[in-house]
Amino acid sequence: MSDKLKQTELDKIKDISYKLKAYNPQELKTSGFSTNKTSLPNYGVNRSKIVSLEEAIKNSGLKSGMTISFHHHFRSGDKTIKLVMEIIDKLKIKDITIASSSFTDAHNFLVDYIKRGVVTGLETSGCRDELGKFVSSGEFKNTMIIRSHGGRARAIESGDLKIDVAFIAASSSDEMGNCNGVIGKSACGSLGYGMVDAQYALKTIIITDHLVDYPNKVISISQSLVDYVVVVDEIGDPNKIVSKEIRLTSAPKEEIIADFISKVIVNTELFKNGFSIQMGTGGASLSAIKALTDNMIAKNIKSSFCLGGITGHQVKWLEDGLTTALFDTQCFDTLAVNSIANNKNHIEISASMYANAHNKSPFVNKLDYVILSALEVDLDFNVNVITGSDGVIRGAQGGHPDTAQGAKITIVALPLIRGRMSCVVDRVTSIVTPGSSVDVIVTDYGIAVNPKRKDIIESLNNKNIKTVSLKEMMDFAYSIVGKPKKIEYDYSKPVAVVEYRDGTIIDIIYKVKEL
Amino acid sequence: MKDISITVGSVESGDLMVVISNSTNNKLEIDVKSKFLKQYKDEIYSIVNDVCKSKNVNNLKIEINDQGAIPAVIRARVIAALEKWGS
Repeated sequence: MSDKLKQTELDKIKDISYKLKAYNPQELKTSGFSTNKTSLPNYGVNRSKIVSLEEAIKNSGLKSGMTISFHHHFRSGDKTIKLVMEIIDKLKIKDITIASSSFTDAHNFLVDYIKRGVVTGLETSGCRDELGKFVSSGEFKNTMIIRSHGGRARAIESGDLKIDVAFIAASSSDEMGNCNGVIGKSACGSLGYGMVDAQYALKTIIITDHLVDYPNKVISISQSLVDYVVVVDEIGDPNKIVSKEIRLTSAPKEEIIADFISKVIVNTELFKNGFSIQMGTGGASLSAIKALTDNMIAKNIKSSFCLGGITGHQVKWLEDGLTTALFDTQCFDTLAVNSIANNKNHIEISASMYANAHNKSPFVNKLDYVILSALEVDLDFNVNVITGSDGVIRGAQGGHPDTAQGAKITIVALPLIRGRMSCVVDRVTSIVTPGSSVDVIVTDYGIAVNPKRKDIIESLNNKNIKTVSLKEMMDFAYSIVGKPKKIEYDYSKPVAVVEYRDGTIIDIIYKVKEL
Repeated sequence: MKDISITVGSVESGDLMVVISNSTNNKLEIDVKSKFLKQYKDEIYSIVNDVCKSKNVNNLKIEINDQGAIPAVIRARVIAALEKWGS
């Protein structure tokens, strides 16, 4: 070709900071911008991206040894991972790493795929039930990586977690992949986790059970990020989004804890017009909302925004004018799903906007209060939300360490005794959130304030609110239940690493000797 | 010798169910099921053993389904079960 610009000419130009490459229709330049993308997306004009799931997987170039991702917005009702894994298995693709934003009891079937070598890697924010037991038993050959929601977004954006193919369940999509979680029979609300995957994965496949005419009216993930669209019968069961971890009870213990939580909040200085809060999903923190609401109305205080996983309780605040906006990475019930679809002040945000410590300003950094649950806390205020007192993986860190570090006042609420175990212990089974970022621990026995937060202690003292030490709580609990024997681990076999939000490792979970 | 079994307690959280029946090998058989065996196995067995010793029981089958009961509850349930069996 005579009119072709010679590369040697371009090489003479020195004052541009990046390497100039001559146009060549046979050898198209790939972007060096992203850490992930090393091949060109679909070049040229494409008027429909609809293919079968099998074609999508074949066309995506998925091979043994690669990494695929999912979101867990359907929680226990998820059906997408199973659909995809069945085809992957059928295509005899092996050695797959699954990077799901979390695993629930809907994913117990993965144990079988792991045993057969189809799945060899797991990266997640949480793991429970049979899959958790399986990993803790040491039968899982590799080491699971457990990240917070913010940490996962950070890992994806930095390239630590390279996703080859992202599978994103969307409750509605058009033929080009403009999709959302708010329209359709299987609406799950915010697609906060999937948004990050779609942006950085090499290939993005949208899986939907509700194809709409082009163009889709609500675009959470745009066609510019999507390679294929797959239409299936059912992506998930929205009725199972509300899981047993999320409930409003009237259990006396939780009512006492709720009372302590609201006492801490309304009696600290930040409780004034425009305060911001994330409220979690534990029974006690949900119960605390009622007392908090009464106080806000009495004092004529409104909050500026609520963050995080959103439940119907925050939706009610928004509708009653008690807060001006909800920023939502994950809808926790159908009320929230309906609200995000209909209320313009209920805003969908990505997991990176929510909590990625390495972007310029995640929303968690603007929080005044966060109420978090826990499995265990220790005398240094460290928090465990991932392993049970028997050492077995049975929880999820979610945005725990992200919000704990970001919020001005971090309140961790839990019962003093659960089953026969004291939840305040010398040393937590696994550290997920370091004590340095936890300010107040509330149990049914009382309120304990981190000694470094003299301001909170003073605020509570001024209002004659009694505080206790964690040691007092623990001693009281042990006087009732007795001191448990220590769990024995096989330290030659680490089964999971717990990554802190910046990518450093905060703890290692080992195989338990007796399951 | 009775050919029946008796049941005391419940499978509610914080409680335990005690089932007593004849031993098949003329020895004291204690079988404990609990979510908290790893942490409290020795203690539960020793409570049951102590109660049996104090009541001179040495040829019964005692099955326990523990749901995280504290020592006082375990002791009370086992005593109640043995007394019910004895009457």
